[in-house]
Amino acid sequence: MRRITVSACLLLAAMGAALAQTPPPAAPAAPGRGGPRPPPLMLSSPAFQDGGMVPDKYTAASTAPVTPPLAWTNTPAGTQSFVLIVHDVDVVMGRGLGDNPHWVVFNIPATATSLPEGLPATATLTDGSVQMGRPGRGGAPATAGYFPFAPPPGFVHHYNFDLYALDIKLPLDTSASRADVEKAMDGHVVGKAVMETRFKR
Amino acid sequence: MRVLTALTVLGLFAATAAMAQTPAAPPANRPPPLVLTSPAYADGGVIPDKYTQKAPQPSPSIPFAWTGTPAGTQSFVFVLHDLDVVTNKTLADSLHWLAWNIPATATSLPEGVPNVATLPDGTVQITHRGTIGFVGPGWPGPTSYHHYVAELFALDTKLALGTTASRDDVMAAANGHILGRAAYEGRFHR
Repeated sequence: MRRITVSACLLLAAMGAALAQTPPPAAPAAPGRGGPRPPPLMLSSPAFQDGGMVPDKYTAASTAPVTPPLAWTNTPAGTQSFVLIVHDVDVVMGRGLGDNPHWVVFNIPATATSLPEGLPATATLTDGSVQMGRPGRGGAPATAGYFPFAPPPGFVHHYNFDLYALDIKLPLDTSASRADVEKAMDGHVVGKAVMETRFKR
Repeated sequence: MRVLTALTVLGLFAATAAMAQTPAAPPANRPPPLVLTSPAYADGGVIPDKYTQKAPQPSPSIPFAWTGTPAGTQSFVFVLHDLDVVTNKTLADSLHWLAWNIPATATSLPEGVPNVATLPDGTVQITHRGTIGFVGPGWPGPTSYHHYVAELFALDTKLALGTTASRDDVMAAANGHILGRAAYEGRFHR
């Protein structure tokens, strides 16, 4: 009897320890003091690796480039929307600090965990996401959405994918500039994830 | 004489045709761009432990080198920062190294730059979080990498800033004076 009791106690203790080690399910912990940190927001792509080269099909090397597919995990607690900024960090614009934005998407729903390949070049997506426009070249009409990577031939440029989780939705419409988006985001970033990529043609 | 005239006309025609093509000059005519490299790790790769907070502190600074200094460059600004950090919900990321007034004639930062505010060549290093100069990557991980991007800016001016200048001071002073920029990217977790 005593042996059974001891065994039962050991079993219960083992179960307790196992339960204590089980990470809390989906509910992300608040970023408070003392407690374990929630896992960080992480961004990836099924089409290329972090630190790697971007395949031609997503770039100006293709005659019909498409948007690259992206996915993320560990959405922070309190996220109300996401912003994606994809930019070429090897470009100088008018001697200023601003680099070259290739894709700015804001008000991506907080429930989203990916952007599929081949998004349409429209200012607004069906889920409410807004894609920034950029003026057309040589008087061509403005276009919205992804602007394929086009570094000078023979040279590597670095394209950073920055995903921001925000505690608000942005009160901006399709006329917003990158500067408008960044100003509205500042003070509302609850998580950030980055992918570094490169491209050369 | 007629032959000469014909040759002249042909010559003028050829010159005109050449000039007409000038605006669409092929990129080969551009000066080579500023390119930043490091002998310590591959672009986009993982930063070796010896330069990080895994090593005894302070770890040696990462060596970098560059080519293609733009014409008119008066000085360089060099920044190493961790893009994955959010500070008080703002867009500010985490600074690991900032040096300015690097001479225009320089083409590298050697490994193990001393942790002093001013180097013999006039380069000024920022004092940040109580440390002068380079602070190695330290993201604990272990399930995710942080992205540490080195950026070099060629400026058409030297910056009139002393050793007490902040990162914001340096970048504000550089804004409007950037002739070229180049990035080199690394990742790290413990």
